[in-house]
Amino acid sequence: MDGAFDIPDSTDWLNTPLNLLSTLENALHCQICKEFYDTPMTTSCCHTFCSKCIRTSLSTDGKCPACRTADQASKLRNNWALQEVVLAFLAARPAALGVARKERDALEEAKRGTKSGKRKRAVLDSDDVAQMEVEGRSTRRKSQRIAASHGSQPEAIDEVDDSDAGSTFEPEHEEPIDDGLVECPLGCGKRMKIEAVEPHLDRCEDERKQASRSQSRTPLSNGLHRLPNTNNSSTTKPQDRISEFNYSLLNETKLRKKLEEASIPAWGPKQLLIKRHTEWVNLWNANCDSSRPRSKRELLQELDTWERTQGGRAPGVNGLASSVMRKDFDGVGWANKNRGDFAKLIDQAKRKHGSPGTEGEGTGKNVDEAGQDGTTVKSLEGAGDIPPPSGQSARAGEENVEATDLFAPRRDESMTPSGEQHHDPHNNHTRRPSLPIDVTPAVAGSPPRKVPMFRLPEVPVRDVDADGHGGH
Amino acid sequence: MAAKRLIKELDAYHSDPSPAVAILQPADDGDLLHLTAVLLGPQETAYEGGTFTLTLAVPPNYPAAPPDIRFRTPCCHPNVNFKTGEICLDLLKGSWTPAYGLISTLEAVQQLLSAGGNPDSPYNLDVARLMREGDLVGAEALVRFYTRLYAWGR
Ligand SMILES: [Zn+2]
Ligand SMILES: [Zn+2]
Ligand SMILES: [Zn+2]
Repeated sequence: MDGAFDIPDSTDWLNTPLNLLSTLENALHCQICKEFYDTPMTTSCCHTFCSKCIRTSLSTDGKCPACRTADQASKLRNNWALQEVVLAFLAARPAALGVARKERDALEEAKRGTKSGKRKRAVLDSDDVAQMEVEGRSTRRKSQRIAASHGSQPEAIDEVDDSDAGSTFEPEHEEPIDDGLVECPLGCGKRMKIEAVEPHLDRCEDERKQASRSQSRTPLSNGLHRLPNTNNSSTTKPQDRISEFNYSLLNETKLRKKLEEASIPAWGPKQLLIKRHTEWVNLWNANCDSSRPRSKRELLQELDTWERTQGGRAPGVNGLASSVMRKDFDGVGWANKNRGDFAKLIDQAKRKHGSPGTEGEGTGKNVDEAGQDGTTVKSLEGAGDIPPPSGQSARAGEENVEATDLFAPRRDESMTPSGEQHHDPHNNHTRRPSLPIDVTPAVAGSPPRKVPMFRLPEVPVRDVDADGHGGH
Repeated sequence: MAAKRLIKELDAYHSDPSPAVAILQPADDGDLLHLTAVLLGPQETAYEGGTFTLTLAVPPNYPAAPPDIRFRTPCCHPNVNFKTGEICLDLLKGSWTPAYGLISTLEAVQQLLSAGGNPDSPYNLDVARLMREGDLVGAEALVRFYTRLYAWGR
């Protein structure tokens, strides 16, 4: 009902009375993976990322992604407080979102003035209910009681007295009286309405991860989010972090031996061995950081996923897409269950922005037209690094002959169609956090000599700006 | 990780479009790692009114490594290769950080257009020469000419 496809997103809050929560939710996202922090770690420069994210990043270029300060993985420190906040927010999110949506719908309903039959039933949308359900009903009920006793929203799954809404809520879907629920096909045990299955699949995996993370808590845990422990038996907690070392100091034989000792695959050329070992160290150490470490078997499975997507068994550049789309990608068929979403994303993009097919053709035509134009076709096909404008550009620049009439102000012309669509429909709540955008052209040596000419801020260029076009 | 984050980014873009980017979508169904974008020429510059198609190739270890972004609509700029569409931008090379995303990178490309670029590391010798010689009128004329020729009215 909300959003074209129900990937939990900070924009879920927009258009509800709780829209400010989108800012809060964004603040709980890691800047690398753009998801809720998973085992947040703080760098020496006091920036925070998921453990695995920052470890991968540091092993790539040794710099903090937020401020580019050099740092080392060994200096990372857990941010337990933030982890608590994330878990508490996640625990409260479904109920809060349910209430927010209910309130929004009630307001809309009131606006339409269509008050239909008074029915007392679950007031929350099935999606939210499905999202709230966590493994083990008794635990859930317990945690909801705890939540309720802490002043959170009332239980949402069972009958709720909707007297607070001010109007009667009419559920969008007719709910069959006999429980026509189906079980999650991924086996998480939740039951939900058939329409809720697809949206649920997206969050099922994430939720289970979050759930398992929250099982073993920091000493400060308040127990609010404790969940049933289903597969503890396989857990052999890895204890010690692997210290990083300089791969260049090892020859291939010794390196291979290191991999064998770690009982990870030891085949392939040296570069691959280094990449694989680095990935393993990052997986391992991030797992050590976690308050809820996974078993070595699970880590090996993740390494295997890496192997198939980025490592030695990843197809070549051309076939990459198919590997990402493989059914077994990420172990749980993640890509497969998201396939529908890809299609929806693409569909939505098409509806939203007009036909992309035309756009593609347009691109092709760019070059065709260059050909028809006659003047530039040669340079377009010309070899070497010198770009086509050569020769001609000199004339255009020095004499301004051909180009002059092109300067004619074109403000009377309508803006490009796409340009007009881009009013921002929301306020700034979800605006991506801005980074210092570095538009320095990649060049070694000479300091950038920026010529701000295309904006023509102060320079009064009469020929061009007589119409006041440039001004500043 | 790459695909999952791309979904997030596309989702965020659809909920919260960028004034710089008219279109961002997978180049064809089912392949998330190759995308097409349409960048709007920055207003009040010689690129104004232009709509530039770019292709984005996302590496499997994204966001650890930057996307490869190229103009497919010819773009006249000292730091853009007119023929191949390659962009000479630090962000796409050494100074990439995983905190950037496709949209913020495309926005940086748009800023590169409005900033005028650096004629000392030219990918486009002609416009760079005009700029170095201080012939800003000539350089702007050249840019307008090519923007109109290739990037208008699409
Ligand atoms: Zn992260
Ligand atoms: Zn930092
Ligand atoms: Zn303390």
